[in-house]
Amino acid sequence: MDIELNRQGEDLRIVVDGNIDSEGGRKLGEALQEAMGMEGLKRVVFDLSTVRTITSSGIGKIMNFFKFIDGRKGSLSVEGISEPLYKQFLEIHLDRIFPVRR
Amino acid sequence: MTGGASGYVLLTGFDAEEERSLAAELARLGREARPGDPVNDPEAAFVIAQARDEGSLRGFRAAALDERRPWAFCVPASDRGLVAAAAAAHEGFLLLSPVLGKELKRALSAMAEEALERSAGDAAFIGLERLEASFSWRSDEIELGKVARSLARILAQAGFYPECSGEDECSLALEEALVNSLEHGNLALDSATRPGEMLEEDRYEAARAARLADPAFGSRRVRIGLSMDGTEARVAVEDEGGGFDPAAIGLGPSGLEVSGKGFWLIKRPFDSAAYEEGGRRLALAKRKPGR
Repeated sequence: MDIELNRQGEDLRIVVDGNIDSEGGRKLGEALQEAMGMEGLKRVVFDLSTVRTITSSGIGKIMNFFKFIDGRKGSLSVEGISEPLYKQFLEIHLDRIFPVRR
Repeated sequence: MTGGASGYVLLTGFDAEEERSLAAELARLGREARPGDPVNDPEAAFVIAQARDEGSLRGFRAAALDERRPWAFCVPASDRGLVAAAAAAHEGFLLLSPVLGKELKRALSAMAEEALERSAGDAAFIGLERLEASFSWRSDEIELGKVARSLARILAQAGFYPECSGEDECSLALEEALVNSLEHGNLALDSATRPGEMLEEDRYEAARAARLADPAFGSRRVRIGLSMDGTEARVAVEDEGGGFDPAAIGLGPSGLEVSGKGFWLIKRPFDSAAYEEGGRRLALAKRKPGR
């Protein structure tokens, strides 16, 4: 699994390529820690187009990051998500916490 | 496939112990077969042939094709050379024979690598009609994702998850189960300490690494039991931790709390999931679709 952080001004696009298993979850955690160190972020967008599954630990990391960015009056959304992951996100109601768009 | 009365099945490369086990299994199933049956016997439902190298494998394949009958290679999954040779044929089915429990760990590793190297659909795990196996890893040695993917692949190739998304969900569920057994069972990391804030992530990972490096925790084993027949597969994941109260598991998948999502992900691709033995054993069961 690979992760790219693409920053443009106040926007950060996080592109995850591959399934987020327990090892991928650790990489995601490291990437999100790096993002937390970025000053002045207002909008964070996840691109999960090639992610078919994510562990509960991975979900927890995204939710913890949401709490962090929400606490700083920023926004988090998912724009680009595979069909099976979209189904999973809807079933656990993540779309009620932050926008999830295909 | 193994039950097709008109089909040839080439069972190759077995050692003596496997061969005796296989013969006994076929006898139990009431089918006629014995080691050394000629490959070109048109009456034989099964042909057990000794093919201990690639050359003889090619010979058996050619003979089977001459008969214009359904055929398959069946090779010990632990023999990577034969697996690769049979897979390279790109014809018929590749049957990975059930292996003895002690070999399964090695076989799973080899199968995972082979599966990645092969394009999907040119190999199938069918095996015999019943498989019973158990194996274990030290906590400080197990590769959770690899084991989960291998097990899910076996179940999928045995027909329990005909759709790709089902295999993905199964792999995810098994990885969740293994993570729980490792972290909350053997490493005794309290699930209540799972990070609820980004800043807590490092502390949890540091505690996990420290426990893994401590022989008192790292030497504890994670055990997996796998059994399947034509209708049902059962997987058991066991740890050597202190157990927990299964009634305390969060039931709902929704909300900001992570708790409960893991077990929900575990249950999703199975027909039943239940903790036993004071929380030290997770029993999973899946019926084959259409049975």
